[in-house]
Amino acid sequence: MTSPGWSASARTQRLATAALLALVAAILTGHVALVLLAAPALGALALMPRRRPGAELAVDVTLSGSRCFEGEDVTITAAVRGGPVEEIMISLEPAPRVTLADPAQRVRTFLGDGAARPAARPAARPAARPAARWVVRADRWGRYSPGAVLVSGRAGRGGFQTSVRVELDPLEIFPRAVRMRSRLVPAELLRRIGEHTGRAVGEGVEFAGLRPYVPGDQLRDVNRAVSIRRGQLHVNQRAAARAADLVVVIDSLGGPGQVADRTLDAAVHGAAALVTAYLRLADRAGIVVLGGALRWLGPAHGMRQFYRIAELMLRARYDSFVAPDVGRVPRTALPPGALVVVFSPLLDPRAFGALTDLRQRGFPLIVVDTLRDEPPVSPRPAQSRRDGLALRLWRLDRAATRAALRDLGVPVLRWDAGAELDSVLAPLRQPPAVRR
Amino acid sequence: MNPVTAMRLANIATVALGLLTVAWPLAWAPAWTYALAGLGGLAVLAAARWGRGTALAVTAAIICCAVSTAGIAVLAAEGLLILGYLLVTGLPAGLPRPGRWLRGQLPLLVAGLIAAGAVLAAFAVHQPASAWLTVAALAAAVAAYLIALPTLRRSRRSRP
Repeated sequence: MTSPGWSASARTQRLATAALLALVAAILTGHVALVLLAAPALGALALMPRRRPGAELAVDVTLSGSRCFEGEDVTITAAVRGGPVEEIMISLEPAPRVTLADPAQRVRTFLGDGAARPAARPAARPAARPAARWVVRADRWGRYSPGAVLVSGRAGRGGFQTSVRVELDPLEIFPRAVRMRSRLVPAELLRRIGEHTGRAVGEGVEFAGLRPYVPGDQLRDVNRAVSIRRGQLHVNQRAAARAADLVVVIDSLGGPGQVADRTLDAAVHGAAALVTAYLRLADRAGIVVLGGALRWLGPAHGMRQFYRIAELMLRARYDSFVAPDVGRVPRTALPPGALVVVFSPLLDPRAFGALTDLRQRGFPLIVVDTLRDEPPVSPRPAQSRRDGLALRLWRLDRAATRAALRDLGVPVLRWDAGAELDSVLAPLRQPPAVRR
Repeated sequence: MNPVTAMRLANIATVALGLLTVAWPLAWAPAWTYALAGLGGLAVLAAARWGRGTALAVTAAIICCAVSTAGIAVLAAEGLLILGYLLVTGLPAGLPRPGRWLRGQLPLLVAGLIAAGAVLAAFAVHQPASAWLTVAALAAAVAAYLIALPTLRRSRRSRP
């Protein structure tokens, strides 16, 4: 990007203003000696060149990457070329959600001697291009610009200045997934080899039972102790190792605000942790985002799927007044038998309707309540009574919502601030009943 | 010297120069100008974050000088202080070596000194009123205008 052009600098304007004020004072008071206040400023102005510098500044800004995870470092490099410039100041204006690794290096100034040298007599050795490099850290997931680079240059003994502001390209900052174990498995597992212990007997590693030997059984499966005791060959049976389908539903319904932001943050981080844990075990994972236009991604495996899910999660923050229709979610997005984990603050009645609908379609649902805030109570005594009453009603309403979901057979788990998702989901982890 | 320390020292020197600029004419000024100088001092302190603070401080100093009984030597010194202060306030942030930048401002200061010396020399010459002198001054003003104007036109034309 190039600068818009050169203009009189703040220094020129100040010097001219001071000189003008002194001359006006001299005329108004009739005190001729006040011209002495203006003379030095006018002398300095006379030394400044009257012709504007011809060349303009051009700024090249590069980012070390266009994607990163929360808390990862991104390097921003800005290089300036062109223009006979005496001073070049390159500064970074980080976005509110971005932290500069070294705040002392936010502004970098370079001194040159371009304007002092006539164009006919070029430098014997070309000067190095002024360049600045910053390391920033994105603190919050989302798709946003990490800030802007502001380059200002002065030439003609500080008499002219120009500035360029370059908005940095948006970064895709994926939520950082905490490590957790994928012990939560649906009752019905897929007929695909995986790492979860299924109900059916198969070729897994978990012991499932004993049965008499039949021709064709492998000798290594013979249980010697039981065979000797019963006088007949018996073999061990093993539980089949099956894969699971996980679909994470993020409820981003509701208006904008700090509370909605916090619940969405919790939901996105929880979903990222869960999806990562399942994808690591050769399971398939998908996502449905409730909020505005319905968005989904059918279950698939591999870390590539994680990035596709993360990209979809970045779009969960956009507000919309479109009411989602869960009935429009295709079978590929919610395959039968998939474990559906819903991260919801349970504030919007549309979300409750969607959950009821999903449950009625026969999906094993688990709801993680991501709301961690309660409505504030006024400290004023007169209002605090009313607020307290309203708070009690609000709590009762939420309790009724949770009870209604439990009646439908949907467990609702509360995710308090500071708790790990692994421990939140722990009560639902039960070893599957093995068919004998 | 550590760049951070050097910049801090340069900023302190700038504030000190600004306060001196505002306080210098007070010895020859009436008592009511002290309040004005106080405002000027506050403007000097605020100038680090408020761009107009510099101009406000200089305005306060000029008003104090205008109502004072200071002699031409004092006013010449005040003019140089104003110039020095206005030059130093342009010190860019984040400079590793402010000394080099300050040395670069010396030609402007010398130009100011020469201009002040020229005016002082003009005051030293007692020239009787003359119509020729007035005509010569007008001619000089018109010549300066004509010299300056084409440059502006050229620069406007050269803009895209």
